[in-house]
Amino acid sequence: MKINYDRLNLPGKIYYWIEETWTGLDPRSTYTQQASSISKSLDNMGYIEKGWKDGIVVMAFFIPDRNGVVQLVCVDTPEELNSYVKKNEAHVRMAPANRKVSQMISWEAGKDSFLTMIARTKVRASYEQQGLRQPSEEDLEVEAQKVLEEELS
Amino acid sequence: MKLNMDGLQNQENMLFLVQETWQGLDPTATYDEQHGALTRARDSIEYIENAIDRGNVVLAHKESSMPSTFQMVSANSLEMLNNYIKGNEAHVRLPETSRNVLPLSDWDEGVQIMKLMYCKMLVRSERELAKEKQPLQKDLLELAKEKFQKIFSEDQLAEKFG
Repeated sequence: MKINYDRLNLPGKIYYWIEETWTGLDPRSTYTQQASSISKSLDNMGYIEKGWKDGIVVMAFFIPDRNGVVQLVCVDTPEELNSYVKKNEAHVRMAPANRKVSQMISWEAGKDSFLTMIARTKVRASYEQQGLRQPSEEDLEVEAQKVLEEELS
Repeated sequence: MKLNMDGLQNQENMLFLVQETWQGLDPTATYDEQHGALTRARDSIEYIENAIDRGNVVLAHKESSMPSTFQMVSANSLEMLNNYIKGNEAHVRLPETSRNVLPLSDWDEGVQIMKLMYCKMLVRSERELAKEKQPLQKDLLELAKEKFQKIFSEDQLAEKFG
């Protein structure tokens, strides 16, 4: 199992989820071409394993029902992510649609933003139902904060 | 990050990545409808948090650039995964395309399978280049295993002694 438990939750680090899938070969390709293609994929596995040893990759899995891997990458800056992705000669053969990168944020921080959004729409809904003009951003912020505090208390 | 370390370390269970993205609301929706939709999405957040406490969800993140969550679900059977997903009344409102479930398999095992596949292709390629008939499946596996031993044990030796 490739999970680096110690680096899963480091403060100050940015986490990215990378999902990569390979395009299938042309059905007319020879076994020689197929072997060569798989050999290059193995080089890519080696790159990910090196990333694991360096501590950039903190989690890696294969996706059993397709030609793909997922990795959780832990970096200090987006530039470090860029270096990790672009230094790999195997990666540059990949079509853009075959790589999905999602930036992971803390569950708690995400939930806080979400609760603020709910409070803001509650305020806006009350103005709307009374047929009043919507509040200014400043007033909305103050009222939403009050709603949030009431709900949390 | 929401993390259940005990659940994550339980190697008996299968892991699934569940990514859920909410569809945007109809632009003509009122603020009241928007508030109702967000409140129901909040129920889903609580459902996930309870599952983290129970150990069904071992890792959870929010995605910063879109309204979506990432959960790593640990289950000892597909039925358990099904119960987890279907037990949430908020989840059933999601259209099929808004939920992506990926089974996750062990890295080291996956690498071994890739290596064996490579060896099979080498065997087939040799036959192909020599214009010989391709071997039967059972013979192919044996020949591939021989190649595997040769190529990758040499690799391991090189790694060890430089």
